Amino acid sequence: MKAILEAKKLCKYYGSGENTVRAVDNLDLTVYHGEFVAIVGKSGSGKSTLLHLLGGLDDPTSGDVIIDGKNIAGLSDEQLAKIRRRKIGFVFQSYNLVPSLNVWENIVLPLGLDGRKPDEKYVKDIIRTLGLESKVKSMPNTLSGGQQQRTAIARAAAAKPSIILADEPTGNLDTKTGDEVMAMLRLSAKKYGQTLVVITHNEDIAQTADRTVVIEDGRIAG
Amino acid sequence: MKRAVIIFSAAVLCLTAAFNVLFGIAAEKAFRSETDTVYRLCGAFADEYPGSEKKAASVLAGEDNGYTEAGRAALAKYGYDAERTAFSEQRYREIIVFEIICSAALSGLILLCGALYIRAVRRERRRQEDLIVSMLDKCISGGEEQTMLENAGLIGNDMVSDELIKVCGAMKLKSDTLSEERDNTKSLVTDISHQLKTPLSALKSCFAVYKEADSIEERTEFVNRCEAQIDKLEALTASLINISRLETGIITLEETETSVTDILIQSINSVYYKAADKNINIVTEEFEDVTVNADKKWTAEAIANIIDNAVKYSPAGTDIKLRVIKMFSFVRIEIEDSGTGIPRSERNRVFERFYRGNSADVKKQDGTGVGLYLTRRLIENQGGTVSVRPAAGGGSIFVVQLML
Repeated sequence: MKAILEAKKLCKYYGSGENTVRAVDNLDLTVYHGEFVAIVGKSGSGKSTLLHLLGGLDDPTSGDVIIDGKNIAGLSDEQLAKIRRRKIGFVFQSYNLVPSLNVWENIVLPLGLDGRKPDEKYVKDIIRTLGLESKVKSMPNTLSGGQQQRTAIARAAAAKPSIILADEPTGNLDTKTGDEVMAMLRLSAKKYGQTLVVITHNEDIAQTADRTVVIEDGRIAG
Repeated sequence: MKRAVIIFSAAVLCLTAAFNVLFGIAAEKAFRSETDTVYRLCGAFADEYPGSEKKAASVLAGEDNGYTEAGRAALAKYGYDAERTAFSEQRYREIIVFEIICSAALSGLILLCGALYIRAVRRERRRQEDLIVSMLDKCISGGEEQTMLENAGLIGNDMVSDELIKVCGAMKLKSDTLSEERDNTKSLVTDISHQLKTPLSALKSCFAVYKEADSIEERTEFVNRCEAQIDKLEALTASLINISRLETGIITLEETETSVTDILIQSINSVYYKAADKNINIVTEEFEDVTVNADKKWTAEAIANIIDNAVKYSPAGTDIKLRVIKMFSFVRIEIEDSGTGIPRSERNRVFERFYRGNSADVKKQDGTGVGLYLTRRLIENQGGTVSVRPAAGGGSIFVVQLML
């Protein structure tokens, strides 16, 4: 299988001396193309830091992150931003939609930042898959949490990234909506051939994943 | 590219300016010699007829009075004829020739540069096309990823190279999936043979004992045991057939508009007698019927497997509760039992092929470890999900989500 996302001897330390916090400690991880991996850990286990490192949102103290064969260490901010925009879609717990833009504008925003024209047919297909057809003109503050998160998923998928990184995507949702959002994420990732990495503290949520990685104290457990 | 255009335009501008300056100088020279001729003429006439400069000045100011004609006629006698053109005068000839050469050189230069540029563009395009073609070739023959990435780096347009890498990745994924499927089939065959072996050898030993048996009672007992093993084998083969059909793609799921009520009725019907035997009630909370896009027969089978398990592992006289909740894009079906529950460590594993729980309660029951695996495959192939979480009362809640 082809590795699409790799972490090699990845470390992220905060503070120094006796107060060093090892958020991510010498961690090796390989995610294969088309896989759905759930990274499960209690809060404070370093899982969010790991996701930020994997997505190039944060610099590791040492070690490498390789996205689609490209080592992102030592890339300029501009190059890194380009890789993030084209290769990675992010979904966050708090949705992070732009409040002054409507659903459609939010979804195609990252494409615009990259100077690309949205593939309208594809974006409309995503919107249909995620059941947002009637909401494209709505503003984010008129949507329910589940709808906002689905908008965020559509935004992540619209740029046709190879990888979708989701940080506690169901954290702000009730169980039922959370289950549905996970099914959505899974469905759109499978449908569009994207690799899905979901970080969660909820093992029940992780059940639908192809593979579960448990993280404890910044390391992979078991 | 942009720089080349700027340099080229600047060069053309400089050359044009230089030519213009030279041309101006030549024109200026011709003009000077012309005025010198006028001065000479005026000088000659003033010398011959003093006081005639006044007339000369008025003539120079534009007055004609037929002098042009008269002058032409007078000079014609000395070979200064009217057919003379600017070209026959040397100074003007020089200017004209100079101008022709300059403009020819300039346009030649521009044409040359244009031709060179077009050639360079064509060559670059061919180089990129060759690179793309060779990348696609490598991609088809499953080439090394590293060389692919290096090649992609040579393509000027990084959007194109990114897309190409994606295409190659997608193709590789497909071929990997294919070989994975082949491996799956292999392991399926192995798994099935192992599964069949146990009841078969049990049957064999029962039969051997039966043959050697002395008393009637002993015979009857072992005939019954044989029969039990045959029943087990039959059930096992039935589910194995389903699995192998599903895995090899013989079962094609036909997704049609189906009512959830119909699916549930079909599922419950198939386990109704088992439930009645154990005095277990299947209670469905009231719900508004919804239609889903699913294969009725196989979805019912998938849900029946869950209810069948619930019946199997629940104590007699308890209830199995069904709930249907319509969400935005999925319908959520919950099946809650008051059975033994599934320990956390096994919750994900119960959906694995041939996996059976480790507790004594599970071991006591007949089972093949096929049902829930089949359920997950059937549901996920239709874009749905199935998962399990603990119920408040100690049992389990199975959650099936089907696409609307």
